[in-house]
Order: sequence, then structure tokens, then C-alpha cells
Amino acid sequence: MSDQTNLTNFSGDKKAWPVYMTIGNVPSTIRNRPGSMAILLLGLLPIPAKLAKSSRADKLQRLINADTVRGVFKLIFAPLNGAAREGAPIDYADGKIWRCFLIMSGWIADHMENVTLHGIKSNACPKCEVHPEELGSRAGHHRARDYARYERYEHENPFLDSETHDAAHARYTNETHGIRRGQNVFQGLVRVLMPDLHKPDMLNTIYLGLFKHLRDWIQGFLKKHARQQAFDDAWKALPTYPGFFVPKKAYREVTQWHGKEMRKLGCCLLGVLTVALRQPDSTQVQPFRRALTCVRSLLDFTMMAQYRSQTPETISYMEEYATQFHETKDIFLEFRISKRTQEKADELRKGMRRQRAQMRERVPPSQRRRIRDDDREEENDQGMELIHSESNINFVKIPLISHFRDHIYMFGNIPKYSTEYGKLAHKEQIKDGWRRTNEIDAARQILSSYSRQHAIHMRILNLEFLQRAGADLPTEVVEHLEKTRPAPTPPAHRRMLNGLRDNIHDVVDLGRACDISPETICPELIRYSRLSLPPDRRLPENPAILRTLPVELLTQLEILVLAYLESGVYDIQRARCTGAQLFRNQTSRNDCVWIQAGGENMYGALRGHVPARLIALFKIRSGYM
Amino acid sequence: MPVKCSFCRKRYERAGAYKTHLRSAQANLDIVLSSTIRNAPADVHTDRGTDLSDANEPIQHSDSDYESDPAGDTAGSEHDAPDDTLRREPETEVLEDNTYPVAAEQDDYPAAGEAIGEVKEYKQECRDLCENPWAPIASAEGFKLASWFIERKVSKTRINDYFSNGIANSTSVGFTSMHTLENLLRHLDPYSPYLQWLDGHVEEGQRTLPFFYRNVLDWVRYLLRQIAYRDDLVHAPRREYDQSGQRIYAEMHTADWWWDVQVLPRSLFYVKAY
Repeated sequence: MSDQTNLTNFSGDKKAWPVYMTIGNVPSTIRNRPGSMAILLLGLLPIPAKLAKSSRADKLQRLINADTVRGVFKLIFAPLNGAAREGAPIDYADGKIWRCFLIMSGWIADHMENVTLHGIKSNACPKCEVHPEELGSRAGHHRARDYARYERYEHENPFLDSETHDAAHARYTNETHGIRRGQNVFQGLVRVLMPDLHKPDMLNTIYLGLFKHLRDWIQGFLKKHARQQAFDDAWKALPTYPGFFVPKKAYREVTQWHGKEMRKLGCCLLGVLTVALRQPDSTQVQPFRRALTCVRSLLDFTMMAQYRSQTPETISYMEEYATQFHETKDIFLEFRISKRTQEKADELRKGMRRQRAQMRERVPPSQRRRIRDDDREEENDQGMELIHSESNINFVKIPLISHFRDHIYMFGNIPKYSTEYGKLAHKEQIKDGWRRTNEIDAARQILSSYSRQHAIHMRILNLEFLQRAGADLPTEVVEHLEKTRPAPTPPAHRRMLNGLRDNIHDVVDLGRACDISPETICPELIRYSRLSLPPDRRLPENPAILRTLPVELLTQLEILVLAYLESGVYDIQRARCTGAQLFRNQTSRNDCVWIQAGGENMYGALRGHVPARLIALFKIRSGYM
Repeated sequence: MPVKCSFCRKRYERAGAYKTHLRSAQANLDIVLSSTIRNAPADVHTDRGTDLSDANEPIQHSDSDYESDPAGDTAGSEHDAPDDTLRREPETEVLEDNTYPVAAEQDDYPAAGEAIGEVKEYKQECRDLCENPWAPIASAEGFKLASWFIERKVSKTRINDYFSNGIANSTSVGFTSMHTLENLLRHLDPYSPYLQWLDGHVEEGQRTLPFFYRNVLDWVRYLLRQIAYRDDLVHAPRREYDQSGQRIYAEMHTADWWWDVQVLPRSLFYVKAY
């Protein structure tokens, strides 16, 4: 019996460097649930003083810091090694003692954290030895990092700063491999392959990493092709839809993006971009197509990577999208331009002008214009060439996405390793506790404050389990459990209408509210009821009777939707429709929905559905009920 | 009504055939088409039902379900603008893959795990928990009040205030101040010794930095001892396959790593050694 430990680490608050841990035996859907209490604080690390860049004294201090962190980790992990090698007897919840092998399987952290813990440079990939200048190319064929070798290496060359040939060579190797002195804190763990500890993370790699760059590129691209206005128009015209929040600002005006907003951006970006790049002229067709392909493949990749269960087929799709992204990303290359390259390009242009001015001094005025145009074209071409050869899409998130595939084969789906869960634990276990302290000896107070909460919660969870298992509990316990249960699970297969409006009583009122005459509504209602409703629930066929029936106008429809790739969990989506009235004093809301307008084989792949806007949500009660 | 393939003029009577055609011929096409809003979960369930019987059921291989490429086709004459934006709605994305691939076959790691004894106090502990669910707090009221204090983050002074003002009925509650409450809470968790905090100090120039940690092994003992997780715990790796025989990679125990590091009971042999 081996037992995996899965560690979460998160550093944020200046004063706390917590290390969380959880176990892989508890399935991710359960352990990542906020109420499950399965992600628990393992330690609070000391925070070494922050140092300014490069001075000799600081270099020493930095080494000391690295050693300190390493020592602390060594102390914390010490019990793991014996348990991983020989197994440790552990009392299990089922009443038996099992021999458990505790093996660390992953370490979830953002990139900078990984840099510190693995002792690499910030432009190096923690998983493979990709050269900093090749980050943008497709990694994957690079050798996996062998941290043990680095350590040996450093051992053999202790005087890296000296001027000998060996030291210079060692420095060079360190440089190309992107390792720093001071070693990996995970060094020496039994049965652990260090490059495997790094876990891909959707939030930091994709949403806050690649998407951030993509946003800038798109901005640049739109500017170059003068489509910014079109993009903003499409952006602002996004319709409301349940579960999707409509951007309030123009795309260009948004200065700060959060993870959630990035996710929404991923949902609508391609559509908006497609609209903005409509009707290209002859020179634009190629670049537009390429840009759209690039954006699309990145988005598709993101979507696929989020699947909670993957098969070789889905993984191959994911890989295909990644390849496509790599093939087309050069369209955005010119927007990765650095200041230095820009200067060079300007210089080149100036140089060309000077040269030309010397060469042709006497040109007949009739030809002057044509020549000037030719010159400008030549200048642009040369400038572009320079920019393309000088700039690169080299940043560390790119090799990271190429490791997604192997990670799925090794460790299963990707979303379960998100740093978000660490953030959540961070709030509950550290920040809430911090607020309660008197800020003197805060750490101790944080720890004890959370243990109290934890004890109560754990007791409730255990009692809940006993109740589920059918144990004989006193009634007061059962009552209490019913009350404290966070959210009663909503009955499935139901749609709820909420938000009753007062002044609507019958079909005539309804018609007035929606600005449709009763003469139009009634026949439509009757037709609908005849075609789609079961016989016992049909409306009276006589319009006169129909007009007298009571009508309720509502503003919100709650729809239960099966959560993303889950089997028993539902999300509630709220389709809102306020008619002409304002929603929360903002503009009125008439959400978009898909309606079944034909058979499965109609409208091609839309399978008989068409999008539509809600005008009113209403309910007609027939007189008998 | 026959469907015309938007790429190659072929016509199809049945959705299944059209889909197969799309999948084979247009494999490099793009936008994942949000099929439908399956608003009613009831629908969802019927879909799941058909999944098992019909491998061509559209939602199952949602990712291979493609629509014409509005990107390549920037003229986009057939699609009007709002249509294109709608196509990437998040919910439709969510909905189209609502079939958690059900493992049709699975393959357990042979002979994983070895129980080497019984926990003596286990039955007694379960019984205690049933009989005296709030121990060491005397009554349900006491527990409720305590958990309200703690979860609502009432401060120490206010808790003391509450008792000293005489609003409280302290006889039924069982504690009279924050101090006594803390003592009770300390014993609320029978396994709390496992979560003992250890502390250390790091000397750094002029200042000493404290740090705190728990014993990892005890920490794991604590979690595994909680019966709340008992039925969810996974003990051994497993390979799962879907209907078409494709391996499913989802939770960690269904992927390769665990399979590789799994250690057989001593009575057999060790499979893996680094």
C-alpha cells in the first residue's frame, strides 16, 4: 500500500508563507471542496529578508537564505523518507491498521515559488532543460531536469566565483541550464522524481500567463489593422446570458483583469475577434486568418485542458491545438517587440533614408512620388524582417503548456491541481485568523484560532458521515446537521421562476408590459399549447377565456445545469428578463437563450436550436388550479 | 430533412452519418460547436442513458463535433454577428460535455495494500461518537453556541462579556468564559495530538525568525483516521477504460504515476525501486 501526498504551497501575505498539504487518497472532487477540510496547513515557514539585486554581500545572504529554506524543508520532510521507503503503520478510518507508503506526488505553486524552491532561474522551466532562448519553441524534446546531477556538479565545483577554467565552465553550464546555486528543497526525498513535482496550473499558466500576453498581442494586432473600434463595438454589444457576465467597459479601458474575468474573456474573445475582423481587404485575408487560427487554437487548448477526465483521444486533440498554436503564433511576433529592437528598426530606417538621399539626388518630379512609395515599402519590409528576427515569443509559460500532455498521462486531469484551492485555504486558514489576532505573536494566534474552527468542523463532518452511514444518532444531532448543512441540494429536474411582478394580472396586462397586442399573443399561445403541451395542461382554445385567466409575470428563471464534467453536481443558472424595466438600476436585462426551434437535423450542427432573447417570463394558470 | 455538409456538398439523411462524416473528413476544423442549451437536467439524464447504448450519440465525443470555420471564412456571410459570439458561450461549452465518461471496464492493481492489524479502540470510538456526539461539551446547546461563537468569529472579549452580563444560561451550556470554552475545544478533537504544532527558529543576522510545522506522518495519520473520508478514500491505482476501450485519465489513481509507485505487500515483492 503506498500513499501519495499531494502538497500545496502558497505564498502571498507578506507575513505568512504557509505550506498546505492534502492526500491523494481522497478524490480531488472531495478534497478540493471548501468544506471538506482536507487541505490542511502543514507549516508556516520563515520569510527570509528580501534583497535588492546583485551586490556581493547580498549574494552571500541569498545563499544563506536558500540554505535556510532548504534546512526548514528538510526538517519538515524528514518523517516522509522512512515512510516512503519502508511504509508506516497507520490507523485507518475503517478500523484497520494499514502499512502506508507516503510519497510526495506534487507541489502546487506559482512560477516564482517554484523558482525559489527548485533553485532555478526565473526564465527556466522547472521540468526540462530548455534553453532560455528557446522557450518559445516547442519544448518537450528537451531532457528532463536532473536535480541530483546539478547538486553533484555544484559539489564538485565549490568555487564558482573563482577565475579558473573549471569554474568558468561550471558557470556556463549553470547559465545554460538556468540553475541557481542553493539547491532544490526537495532533494533527497525517497521515491520522488523532482521534475514530476511541478504541476501545471490553469490559473497562472493559462489565464494569468498566456491570456495576458494574448490580450496585448490582440490589442497590437487590432491597432495595426485599424480594427480597434470594431472590436470594441462587438465587445460592448455582447448579449447577456445566464452564467456569463457582460463586460461593462470597452476592451481598451479595462486596466486590471482578474482570473475570473480572464475566464470570461476566454469564453467570448474568439467570437468578438471574428466579428471585429470581418470583411478583410485583399492584403488582410492572410494575416486575419492566421491570427484567428492562433487565438482559436489557444482557446481550444485551454478548453480541452480543463476536462476532468481525458482519454488518449482528447489528449491528442489538445496536442493538435498546441501544435497549431505554435505554428501560427508568429503572426503576433511583431507585438512582442522590445524597446531595443524598436530602436534598431528605427535606426535601420534612418540609415536607409540617408543612403537613399545620397544615391539619388536628381529625380524628375514626375517620378518622385512613385519612388517614395517604393522606398516606404522597402523600409517597412526591412523593418519587419528585423523585428521578426529579433523578437521572440520566449516566456516560460510556453514550455509549461507542452508538459500538459505528459502530466495527464502521469497524474490525471489538470484542473485538480489548480493553485486556486491553495488561495482558498489561504483565506480560511491564514487570513481570517490574521484578522483576529492582535498582531503580536500573530503566527501562534492564527494557528490556534484555526485549530478551534477545524475541530468543530471536523466533528460536524464526522457526525454527518455517521448519519449517512445510518448510525443511530440522537435526534437533536440530526436536527443540527440539517440546519448547518451549507446549501440544501436543490431538487433536480426543476426550473424555478422567481421575482414576481405585481401589476400583471391577465394576458392583456402581459401584452401591455411586452408591448405586444393581445390579438397577437393569444393565437400564438394557443398554437404553442396545441403543439407542445400535454393534453391535460393545454390552454383553453377560446381567446376570450384565455384573456380572463390569471397571468404572473416573472423576472428570473433558475435553471439547474449539470456542472462541468460532473455527474451529480448542479450549477444554478439564472436567466433574467426584466422586460423594459431596469435591472438593479442599470440597463434592462433580456438574456439570451437557446430555443429548440426544429428537429435535431435542422440548422446543421446547431441541431435545431436558435438563439433568442427573452422578452418575458410568464406563467398562466388555468382556472381549475 | 437532409443536412447538407457545409464543406463538401454531400447530403445526409441521418444525424449519425453526418457526424461520422464530419469527424472523419473535417478533423482539422475548429470551433467547438456548442450544441444546445440543454436547459432541463431531465434532458441531460436521458442523454446519459442513450450514451451507453449508442456510441455515436453526439454529446459523447463533443470535441470532435465541429462547425464550419468562421475564422477561415472571414467573409462570414452566412453567419451574422451575434450568432458568432453566441457560439462560444461558456454554458454551452459546459453543457456539451456533461457526460462524465463512465468507466466501462476497469483494471485494478493486483493485490495492493496490506492491512497489518486492527485498531483496538475503533469500535469503542464509533460508539462513543454516536452516544455522546458533543463530547466533551455537555449539551447540544453548548455545542451550537460554541460553534456559533467560533464560526462567526466572535472575539474573546465579547464572549466573556456575553457570559458576565448574565444573558447566558451557563448551566446548560457547560462553559462560562472563553477560557473554559478553549479548554473544551482543545479536547473536542480526539485526534488533535496528531496535529501538534512544533516550532523552530532561524537565526538571520540580528533577528530570529520563528517557523512552525507539523509532523507530516502524524498529519497523514490524522486525515486517514477521520471517518468522514472513509468511504471516499482510494486505496489502490486502477486503470479505467471507456466503451471504446480508450483509457480514461481523470483522478490521480487512474493515471500512470500511482501505478508505477505502488508497492506490493512485503509477502509478494517490491515492484519499483528508484
